[in-house]
Amino acid sequence: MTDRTDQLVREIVIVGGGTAGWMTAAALSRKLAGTDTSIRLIESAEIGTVGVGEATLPQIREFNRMLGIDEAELMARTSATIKLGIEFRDWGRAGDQYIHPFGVHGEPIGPADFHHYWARENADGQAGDFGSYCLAITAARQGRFDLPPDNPASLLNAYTYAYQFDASLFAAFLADYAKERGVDRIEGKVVAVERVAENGFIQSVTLASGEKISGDLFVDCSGFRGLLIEQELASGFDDWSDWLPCNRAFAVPCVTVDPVGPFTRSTARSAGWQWRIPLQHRVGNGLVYCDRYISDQDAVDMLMAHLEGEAIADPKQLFFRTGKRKQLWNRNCIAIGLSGGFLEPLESTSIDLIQSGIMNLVALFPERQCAAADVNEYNRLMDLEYERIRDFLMLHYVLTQREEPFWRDLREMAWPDSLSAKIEAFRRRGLVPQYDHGLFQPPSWLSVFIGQNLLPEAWDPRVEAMSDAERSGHLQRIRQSVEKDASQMREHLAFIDGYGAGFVGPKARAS
Amino acid sequence: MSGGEQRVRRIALFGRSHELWPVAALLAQDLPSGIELIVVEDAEPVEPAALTIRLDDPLLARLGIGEDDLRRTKSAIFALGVDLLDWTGDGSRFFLAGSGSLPAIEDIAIHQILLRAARAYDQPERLAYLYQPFRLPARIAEAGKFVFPSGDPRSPLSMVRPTVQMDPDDCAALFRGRIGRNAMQIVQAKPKAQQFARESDRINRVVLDRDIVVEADFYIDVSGALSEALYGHAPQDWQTLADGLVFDRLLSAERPGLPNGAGRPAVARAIVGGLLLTTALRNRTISELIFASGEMTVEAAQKLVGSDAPPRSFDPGYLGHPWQGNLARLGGAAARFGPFLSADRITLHRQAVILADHLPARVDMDVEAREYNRRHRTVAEQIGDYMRLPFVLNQRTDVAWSAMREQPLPESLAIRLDQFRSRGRLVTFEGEIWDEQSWIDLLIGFGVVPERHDPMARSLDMAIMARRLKKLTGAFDQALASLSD
Repeated sequence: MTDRTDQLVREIVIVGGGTAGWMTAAALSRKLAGTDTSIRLIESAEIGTVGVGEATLPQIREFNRMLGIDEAELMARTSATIKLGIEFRDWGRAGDQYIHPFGVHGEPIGPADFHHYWARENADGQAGDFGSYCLAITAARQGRFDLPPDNPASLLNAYTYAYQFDASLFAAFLADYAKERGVDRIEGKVVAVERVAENGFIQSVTLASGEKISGDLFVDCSGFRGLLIEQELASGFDDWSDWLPCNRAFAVPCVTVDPVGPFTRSTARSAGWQWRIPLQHRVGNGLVYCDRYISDQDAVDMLMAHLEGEAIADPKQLFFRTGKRKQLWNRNCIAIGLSGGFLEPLESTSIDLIQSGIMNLVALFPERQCAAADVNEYNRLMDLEYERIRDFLMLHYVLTQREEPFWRDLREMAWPDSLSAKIEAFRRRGLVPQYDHGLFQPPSWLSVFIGQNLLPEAWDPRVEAMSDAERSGHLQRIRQSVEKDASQMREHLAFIDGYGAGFVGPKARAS
Repeated sequence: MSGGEQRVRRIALFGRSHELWPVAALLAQDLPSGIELIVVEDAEPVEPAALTIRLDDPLLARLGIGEDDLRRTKSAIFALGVDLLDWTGDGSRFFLAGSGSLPAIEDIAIHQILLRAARAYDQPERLAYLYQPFRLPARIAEAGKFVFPSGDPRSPLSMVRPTVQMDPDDCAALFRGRIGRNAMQIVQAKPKAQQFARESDRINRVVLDRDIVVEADFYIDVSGALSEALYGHAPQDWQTLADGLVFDRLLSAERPGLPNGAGRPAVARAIVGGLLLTTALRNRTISELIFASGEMTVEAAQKLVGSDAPPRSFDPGYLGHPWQGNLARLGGAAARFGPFLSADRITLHRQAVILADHLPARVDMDVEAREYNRRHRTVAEQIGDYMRLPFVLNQRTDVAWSAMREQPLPESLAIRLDQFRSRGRLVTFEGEIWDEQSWIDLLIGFGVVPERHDPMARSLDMAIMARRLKKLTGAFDQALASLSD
């Protein structure tokens, strides 16, 4: 066996800052500490970041754990609030409302899954709202939160949480973290890319200043333009805009007027949807839409007309195309963040896809020649992740009873077979997608199915082995237990205050 | 329920002995009184066999069957895995034990740390040697000891994953004993060929010998007799594994007394042209031989096993779509992997649980069938890959064994092997059945030395690692020493 020291990646170049760039830099600086690997991040103050991804998924807590980040400090520096789920308003029909929670509905009361017993009870007109059997939802509706128990007494007490934070401050927080661990930030714009003739690997990038930055491994975090992965390496793009047609957004912050609940809100509009993400010091808002159905002016007017408080900045317009690169890892370049793909802000998957890219890169961290086995495996894992998220996002659009042209067209278009099969399985027999690898698990699918009025026509026959009285008793007990446990939690902002996570201001820096 | 008039009202279950009764017990437990269950039992005696079941098996859990229930049976003994002898050359020994995961250190798997250490001394080939002290369940078994897992997750003894070994009759009786008296109607008969009525792909009724007629909305075939009556001997849609597992005959026998070599309750010995499994039960020993008919004569096989019976044909594989129309197949009717690693038993129990979770609500059962078939294929692929791995990694020089190294691999197994050989990373797929640790143990134990270690292991201080690893093996040594023989 030969010495492979000369094969080690010694120089990593990250092109682009923002959330993706600094998350990558922070993670690699932590994982490669003490290995004499240099990490340089090139960003230009002239190039803005998108910086509106403010809501996260619970998986981000695993990322923080990996980095050894103190949660309260992170929350204090990023104006973070707690997120127990996403409230969807008007998605099935106008007036509908449900929460996709970070927790489960009910608990096992027989051999069939809980939702089958609920469906049976609901058929008799006796069931409560499906969300009322979920602690995370009930707590969110009450505006309450406490940390979940380490060892929950039952599944009823099992829930998790994420954050809603200022993504720019999060990037700044991670920039401090990464720089403290040796990441070298280089101010500059990339104007040229040099490649190795034999294998097409990127050798260096040249900045406008003339400085040449060489590296063994390049991470493209340059945003939608994909400076390295697409403009240089022409990796190709799987365009999913036929399935997820929204292609523009306006974003604007406003002052807080309504309660700062521990959840994000998504409200369906005539040709898209509007988000509300409450932070400690302001509320982030945005309207996502498809320009085939509404003009830019009407879209921005619609957004501004639905703000809860005074806007505190001008609306910022964003353009995007849903889909992903055909190869997220090509030669010695890995695209992480918007350079790799973008689906929808609908379920807060942007930051999670960044995290997945980073975690898979850490797991498959290459040698200089980037073995094909590693590249293929990375692309396989990321493709799977993107496709499963795509189906889940589409579910929201196709399970609608709204009659505006935008919604009707989505409902009536040809769906991917994988999605059609999932919807059919639930409609016919209450079967819910089950897989080990994937972001959205059964509680997520259930909340959207039922929340958008798709009720199973039939349920698990084993449900009938339980008497009506026994089933009703179980369901009533669960509701009462959930209600009681939620009411004993602290009010959301009181929790943040008591946790030492109150916002310390945008300029603050941990000692 | 809408469409109530189309509800499933009657289910007919066909099968034999130890395959039939686990499924019957689960259905009898779970089905509501509004669904009638008819069990058609083929009462013919089954061939000698040893059935090995993990104590954390999902079907046992569903039925609430625990150690005490198993201990009360006539034949059961507990074990920690199986001894693989002569697979990597004559005289080689590797104990394959179920195992919980080893703790990672700073998110780096222990075998990666050991690989880095071995490479630092330019001795990567010593990986298996360095790794062996961390294989606590295997060490316990190799020392001739046994223990049930500790309930304390911090205890090293929580890593063991015991199995129970029993004979088919005992197994059948155990499961049959879980069924209440009035839970079902039992008929002892066999389905007769050419005497069933069929409408498109749905069975309307099945005629049994003695001209008994069974009519049901949903039919379940566990042992294959009903499928054979419908489709003949050659199953359609059969995904054969015979190209990777060249043994095509199976012969089994039992004899009184325990096998030679105390403390080795289950042995899988590689021999020229075959694989001989010897499994101890409480009062006898079961021998099962799979062999290549071109490499071993029938007489030689019979002598090895101690049987005069003719060998049975062995064509490992599985159905791609075992649920078609209103007939769902499982067990030997849907997959046959053979006795090694008790793969058939694991498959049956997994299928039974999946079937129970997808029982049809109505006579139109396409969605249940689609999902059952998908999950069945996941199970079959998982089992096929794991079972095949030691055959792929064998280092024997005789013809049959050499040939098995050279066959093309299923994509999933190829990815696993490529990744592990390349960088020591274990790839996992949907519906993993075996412990990740067991995969890693098997790969390393069979001589796979990754070409490189996880680059993230470079960040570790190896002096500190040495102390932490020593502390860990010290705890394992102590746990082992605390056990009686």
